[in-house]
Formats: sequence, structure tokens, C-alpha cells
Amino acid sequence: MWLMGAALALCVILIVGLVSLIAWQGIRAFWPRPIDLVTLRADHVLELRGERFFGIAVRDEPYEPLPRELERIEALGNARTLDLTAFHTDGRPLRRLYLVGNRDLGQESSLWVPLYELSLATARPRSALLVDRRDWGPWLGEAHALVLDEYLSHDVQLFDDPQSVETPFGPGSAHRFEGRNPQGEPIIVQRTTIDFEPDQASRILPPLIADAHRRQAEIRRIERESRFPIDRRLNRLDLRLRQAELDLQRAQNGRTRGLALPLWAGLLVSIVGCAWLIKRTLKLPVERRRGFLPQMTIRGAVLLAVLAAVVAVIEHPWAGPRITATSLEALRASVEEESRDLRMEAEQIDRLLMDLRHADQRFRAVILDPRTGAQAPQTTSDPREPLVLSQIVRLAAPNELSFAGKLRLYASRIAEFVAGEPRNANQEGGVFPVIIGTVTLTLLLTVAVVPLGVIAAIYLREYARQGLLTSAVRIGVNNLAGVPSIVYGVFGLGFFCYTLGRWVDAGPTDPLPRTEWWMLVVGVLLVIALAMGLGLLARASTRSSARTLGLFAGLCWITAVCIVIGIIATTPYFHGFFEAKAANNISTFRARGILWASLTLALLTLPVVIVATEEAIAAVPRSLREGSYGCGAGKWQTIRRIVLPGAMPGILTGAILAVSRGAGEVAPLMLVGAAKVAPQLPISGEFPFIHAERSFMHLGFHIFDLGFQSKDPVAARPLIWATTLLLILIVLALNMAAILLRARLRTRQSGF
Amino acid sequence: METTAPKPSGLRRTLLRDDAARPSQPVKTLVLDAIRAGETFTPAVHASLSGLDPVLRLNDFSLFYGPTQALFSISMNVPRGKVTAIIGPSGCGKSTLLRSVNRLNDLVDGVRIEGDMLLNGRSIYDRHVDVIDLRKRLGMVFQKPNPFPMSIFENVIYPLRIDGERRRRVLEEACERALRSAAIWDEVKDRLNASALRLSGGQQQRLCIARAIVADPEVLLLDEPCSALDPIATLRVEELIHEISQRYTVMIVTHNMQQAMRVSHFTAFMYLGRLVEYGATPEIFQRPHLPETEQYVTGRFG
Repeated sequence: MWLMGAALALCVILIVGLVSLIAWQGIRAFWPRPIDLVTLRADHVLELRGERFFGIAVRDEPYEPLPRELERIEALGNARTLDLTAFHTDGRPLRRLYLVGNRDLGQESSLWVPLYELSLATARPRSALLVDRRDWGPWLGEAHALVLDEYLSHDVQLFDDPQSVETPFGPGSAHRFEGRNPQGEPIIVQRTTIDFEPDQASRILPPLIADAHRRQAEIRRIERESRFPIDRRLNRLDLRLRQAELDLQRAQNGRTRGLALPLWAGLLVSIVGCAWLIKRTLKLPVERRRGFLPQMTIRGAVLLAVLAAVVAVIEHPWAGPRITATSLEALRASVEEESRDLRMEAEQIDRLLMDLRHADQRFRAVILDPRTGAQAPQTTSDPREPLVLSQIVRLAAPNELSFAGKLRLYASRIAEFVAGEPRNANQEGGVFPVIIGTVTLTLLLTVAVVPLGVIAAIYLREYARQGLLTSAVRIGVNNLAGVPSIVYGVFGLGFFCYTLGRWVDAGPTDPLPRTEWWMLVVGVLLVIALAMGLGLLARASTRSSARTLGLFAGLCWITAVCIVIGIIATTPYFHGFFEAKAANNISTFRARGILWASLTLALLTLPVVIVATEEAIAAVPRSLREGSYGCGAGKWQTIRRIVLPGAMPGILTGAILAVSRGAGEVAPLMLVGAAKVAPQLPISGEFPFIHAERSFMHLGFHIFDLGFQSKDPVAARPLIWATTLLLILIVLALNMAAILLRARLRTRQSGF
Repeated sequence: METTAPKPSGLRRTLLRDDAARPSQPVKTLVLDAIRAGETFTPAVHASLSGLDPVLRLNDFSLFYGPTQALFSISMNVPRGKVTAIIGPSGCGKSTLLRSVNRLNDLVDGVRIEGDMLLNGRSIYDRHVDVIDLRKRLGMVFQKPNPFPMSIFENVIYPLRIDGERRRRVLEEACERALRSAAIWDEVKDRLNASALRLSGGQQQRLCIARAIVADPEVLLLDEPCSALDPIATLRVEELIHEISQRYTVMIVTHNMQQAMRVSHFTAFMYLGRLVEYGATPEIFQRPHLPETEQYVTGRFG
């Protein structure tokens, strides 16, 4: 008993420890930490030029020094300049991890520094800035100047020497140089540099940065509202034309002959025959119409009539080809005209956008790295151009922040994390698309798995005859639960993405000729009729032969299903929903996407739902079912009104388990759809709102990507913690929602 | 008094045996021993049943659960508009018989029947009989109250709901009528939307009776409706049975001799799957034809 108690305690400690660690680290991740102006000993032996740099201390740890370092420590000790705080209590030297940013300078964004190499002059200057940049990672430095460009026409005079000018931001010095405007015409740029004290930066720059952000937002709005729709329309026009070409091609190749005469004749004969049989059946007295043969006759006749109607509608032999060479030419002309207009419109907008971007480049800041004296560059390739203000996502001077200021910064970082786009190769910025991707995936997964699993379980428990076959199915389902998830991923990729996706995109690979295909259809109908007949016979006959008949009926059904799959896979009437796109070698569904990912996960979690539902259904008391049957309810009515509501809490439990598992699964997603960066969200305000073909970002995959695939895991670490916390929170929220729902259902059932 | 010795199989066809045809010299065979031995015998069916209009007729009805036989060629008539009690020791097939009437036994795997059962002259077990439709014509109340986990209102109108009735007024009227008939209206009229599971056991059982009669069944089947109730609730349900027996034919299975005596017009005594004696209740309890019946009703065995 003590052992069991200890085991339980261990489990609790492990779980609570894990959760609290993640919670603590995740919550801490965005708390602003001070920037140290780290000053090394003048004679330091680190592989680092310069003595002073800005760094954010992350943690200290003792380490085993190399012999070379031991000598150094000894030398320092002899000079009596060693501080005891540089050593761990066990005598090992301590080293400190500094985040130093400024990767543009060719350095790692984090740096281990032995504490004995620090001089005592390490300080926390108020002017130290942490600049979160959109593209190149964080920059630690001091802002020294604001740069304002003015674009003048090409005929103004160049200055020989910088001239002092008055600007709204204070006095500055201006010089002029030759440049080009977005249209490539030569202009003169007048660049005014306004110097200020570094500690003034957090007063002067933020309003300008806010302006820059507004300009960027305007650019993005124009792109989103005006520019991208034009691209989409152009694309659609192209596809329409391509589709028409394909249609014409097909009309010229394929539609020369109609269906084979024998098929039509056969259909006609069977219809007439059935009509005659029906007539005969209808003449029978009412009681005798219920017999086996009359029933089969009527059903068969109805089936045949439906089939004939379908053939007629699909083949419509009376209609000519839908498209001709002339109509194609007309379409081509109209498409060309329309796209010419659209292209002109697009050009105009592009010019406007270019002007806006050019204007945005006018505001820059000089932010210097104290070690090298280099400025934060606009691009890594051109270090002479100072940083454009709109590149700055957030400017913080953590050393001069009060607690409230830190709190504000913390809140703004969290807001960006939750609601922003990722930037700098996912290592910074937000995870909004990731959250959306995860939630959409989970919802799609739920929508797919719950009905499927519940229906399967109902059939298995309520309708199927309990026997060898159902046991085999149960065992199979339970085994499915044990298959490693990566196997599902491989299956999903191979089946959903490449096979099914291909079919959806471009239709069957090699469709059958139409006559053969229709014969297959007739064949499958015959097999189905045979299966139905065998089933009816089995029900009517004695026990011994019923078994054999039932078995044959089952075999017939399985054959029918196989043939139906074949029919669907070889239909000559379906050419894919995205035929034109596929013809241009652009995959739509034949790629990794959220639909296939959710279906793969649905498959993965199906066993959980089936097993849970079956158990829940079995737990509904027999007396309730009998009561329902006694009231004259049919099987389905009893299931719907009594069994399912009674089993709902159990079904929900299964769904919760399944969805939790699915939401946390990563391995199959790496194969079937999760992307490092998804250009578009899987849901949007545009029709069809859920874009099932798009790839998506997923929290689990994001964690993997940040932790193991990024170039700078140390810098990404806070984000990893935060993302982990978020994933746990989302799974928790989903669970809580379902648990609350279940609790409500339970109380409703036990009295309200 | 009459007992019947094992007779040739021709006697099994006897449906209604008239008292007038009673053999002059009673044969003192122990019927129960004969039944235990699996021998065939003809049940003692009283003459008082002969003139009545039967709503339900059983012709040599036998039922098998797989290889075991549960009912042995039972032939009896259930008179219209009367309360017929079925008594007998545990496991004698009373409930099975009752559940055969609305074919609830169909739900059990491996059930097979022989003989026939006629409701208003039409076979219940014919291949073309719609079981659902049949059950709608027969109301059933079970041993343990089994209200559905829904509101009282929904419980009562359940049979109508599954029949596709949607008109609110019709449902409400039917609900009130059934609840009044089941003598529970006054207790629940203010909380029709409360869960039925909150009612007491006796109330639940009366609710189930209301549910059973809401669709105006031809026969009401009560399967030991009071066995899970306390004496007061039992009394109320018995009063209720008495009341509704004026409108419906009732078949009630009971363990309780007093109850059978109080509520029924006719009583059938069954033993080990066979009908032993069947007659008007006062006669069965006061001057049964068979000594075994007397022994049973006076509590000397069983």
C-alpha cells in the first residue's frame, strides 16, 4: 500500500512539476529583462573583439574549464584580481549566458561569458535599447540619431558639405546625394541627420515608429483590399480559359460516339420488362404484394428507372457539345480583354504601393552597437543604410522602465505573441496563424471523427449481428489504436494527399471508356440486388442455412463496395474539380493540406471514439430500451431518443479523449500538412471560408520547429516555452469545454 | 374439483374446457409432479370464461429461449375489458408470456415460438405483422419504473412523439388526459417540465402507466407493476388499475396473491411454463378446481 501511495505521489509530482515548470517558464518568457552593458577585462582572451557589449543575462552555470582557461584563472588569481562571485561553491568557474542579438554583425545571438573575464564596471545604462526588428532579429544598442530623407527632383544642387537645417525634431545636418525613385528616374536625396542623446531615444522615436506602423498598415491594407484580389481574378480568368481549352479538347476527342447500342438496348429491355412485372404485381391482391418476389420486383424496377434517368441525364445524347472552337475563341478574346484591364489596374496600384514604400523609407534611425560601433543596418547586405523605422516592431529601453512600464511592455509582447504573425523565421513575433491552424485542425478533426465513430459504434453495437465478423472488426479497431502515429502520417500522405487528392484535383488517372463504365455500374447494381436478395432470404430461412446465406450476402456487399470504389476511381465523367490548375501543374488538393491532415488525425483517433461510444451505448440500461420498444418505438427511434441521449456523456468523453490526442499529435502532421510557414490562414472571410486545401501551422509542429530546426534555439527558447504553454492551454480549453458540456448533459439526465 | 390425467395429444388442442364436461370421477394425480416430469396435461379452464369476448387468444403457444423451452403450449383467452391476473411462482414464465404479447421477446437472441397468438382475431406472429404497429396497440408497464431521462411531459407523450405527432395542443391534451387517468395529474401538473427521474418510485410507476395508456392501447400489459413499490404506492397503483380497467383490457403479472384478488376479474395460475388453472378470480381463490392451485393461493407452496 505504501508502494502504491508512493507511486501515486510520484505521478502527481511529475505531472504537477511538468505543468508548473511550463507555466512558469511560459509566463516568464516575455517579461522584460534588463540589458547589461557588459565590460570585459581589458586583456580578455575571449574570441571577441572589443570590450563592451550589450547583453541580456539569461542564466549562470558552473562549467569545467579547459586547461587553457585554468591557466588564465591562475594568472588572474596571482594578480589578485579574481572575485569569488565568479565561482560556484564547488570551485568551478561560473559562466553566464548573454543574449546579445545583432546577428547582422556576424555573431551568434547568444554568448557564454566566463564571469572571471568580466570587469567590475558592468552597468545598466538607461539608454540601452532592445530593438525588435521585423526581419533580422533583435538588435541591442543605443540610438544616436534620427535620419530624415527628402526626395527632391534631379535638378537641385548637391551640397559640397553637410549643411545645418532646422527640422520639426530639432536641428540637424543635411547632405545630398544622387538616388533613384521607384520608377527608376534619377533624383536627388537630401538626408538630414538629427543627433540626439541616447537616453532621449525612447522619447523621440516611439511616435515616429507608430507613424511608420500606420504607413505599413496602409500598405498592407491596399495590398489586401486592392492588389491581391486583382491577382486572384487574373488567375481565375486564366483558369477559365484553360478549362475551356481542355473541355474543347475533350469534346473533340471523346464525344464522337455515344454509348454502345447494346447498353441502351439492354436498359430499354429491362425497363420494359420491369414495367410489365410491376403491372403484374400491382394486379395482385394487397396481401400477396408483400411477398418476396413482388417486393424485389418493385424495388428492382424503381432502381432501374433511377439508373435509366441517371444515364439519360449524364449522357444527354440529345445535346451537342457544350463548347466549340468558335466559342473558345470568343472566350479567349473576352478573357484577354478583361485581363488587360485588370493588369492596367494592377500596374496603377503597384505604382501607388511603390511610392508608399519609398516614402516609408524616408524615416530612419541610427542605432549603434557599443562593441563595434556599427549601426543597425537596413539590410545585412548594405550596412551603410541605417534602419528604416518601419522595420522596428517594438522599441524598449528596459533599464529605464518602471514596473508599470515593464508590465505594459510585457502585455504588448504577449499581445503580439497571441495575435501577431511570426517573423524572423518564426523565432519571434506571434503565433496567431499557428493558433488558428491548430484550432481549425482540431475542429475539422472533431467534425470528421465524432460522427464517423459514433455511427460506426452504433452499427457495431446495435445493428450488426454479434459474431465472428463483429469481433474481428472490434479487434481491428482496437489494434488501430496501437499503430504508431507516424504510420498514419505515411498513410495519409500516400492515400489522402497523393491518391485522393489527385482524384479531387484532376479526376481519375485512366478513366474507363464510357460503355464499359456503365456496364460496371449495371454490374454493381446486380451485385447489390443479389446481396439484398440473399439478405432477405437469410432472414426468412432456417438457422443453419441462414448463416451461409448471410455470409454470401456479406461477401456480395464487400464486392459491391469494392466495385463502387472502382467505379468512382475510373469514372469518365469526372475530370477533377481543379482540372485547369492541375493541367498547369499546380496542385490544389494533391498536396499536404489541412483537410487531409484532419482526416488522417480522424483516422488516428477513430478507435478511441468507437470504443468509448460502444461502451457508452452498452451502458444504457436495458429497461429504458424495453420501455421505449414497449411504447412502440422502432429501433432507430429508440436509438435516437433513448440510447444516444443516454450515451451522450460517454460519447463525449470518448470525443474529448480523441480530440485531445489529435490536438497534441505532431508526427503525422509533419507528413500530411503542417508547414513551417503557411502563407495564408486556413480560414478566411472569403468563400468557402474554410480553405481545406491550404497547408497550415500547428503548435506542436511549431514547437518542434523552433526547438530543433531553427538556426538559433537559444534565442527562440522563450518562444518555445510560451508556445508549449499555449498548446497546453488550448488542449486544456478544449477539454474543459467538453467536460462542461458533459457535466451539463449529466445533470440534465439526472434531473433538472 | 377437476384434475386431468395425462391425455393423448389430441387434448392439447383443447382451448376452452367447459366445466360441464368435467369428468365424473376426479382423478387424484399431482398435476405439479406431472409438470415437473414434463408430461402433457390439460389445464383446468373454468366455464365462466367461455361466454366472454376474447381480445387475445393464445393457441398452443410455446416459446423457446434457444434450446430451453420457457412456455409450453399455452392456450387461453383474455376477455375484453377485464383485468386478467397471471400468478405463479418465480420463473414460471408469467413475464415471458406477457412479453410475448407485444413481442418484446423478439429482442432476445435465439427466441423461437410455436403456436399462435391472436389479437382481435389476427395473428400477432404473422410474418407480415408490423411489430412496431403491434406494440403501439399494446401498452406495457414494467416491474421497475423506467421513466426516460426526460421531462415528465416528454415521458408521457413519448409514444405520440415517435408516432410523429407534433401539434403542441394535441400533445398537451393527451398528456393531461393520460396523467389524469393515471391519477398523477394533481401531483405533477405544476412541473411537467421537470425531470421524470425526480419523482418518487410510486409516482414514476404511475407516470409509466400514463405513458402506457396515452396512445389508447387495446391491451395494457402490467409486469409486476408494484413489486418495486412501497405499500402505499402499491395501493394507489392498484386503485389506478381498478379505475383504468373500466376502459382497457388489462393483463397483470403479479407475485402478490392479495393483489391479484383485489384487482383482477380473472386469474391464471402458471407453473413451470404451463398454464395450470384459469378462471374467475373469486373461484380461483376460493374454490379452485385443482388442489395445487389452492395450495399455491393459500401460500402452502411456491
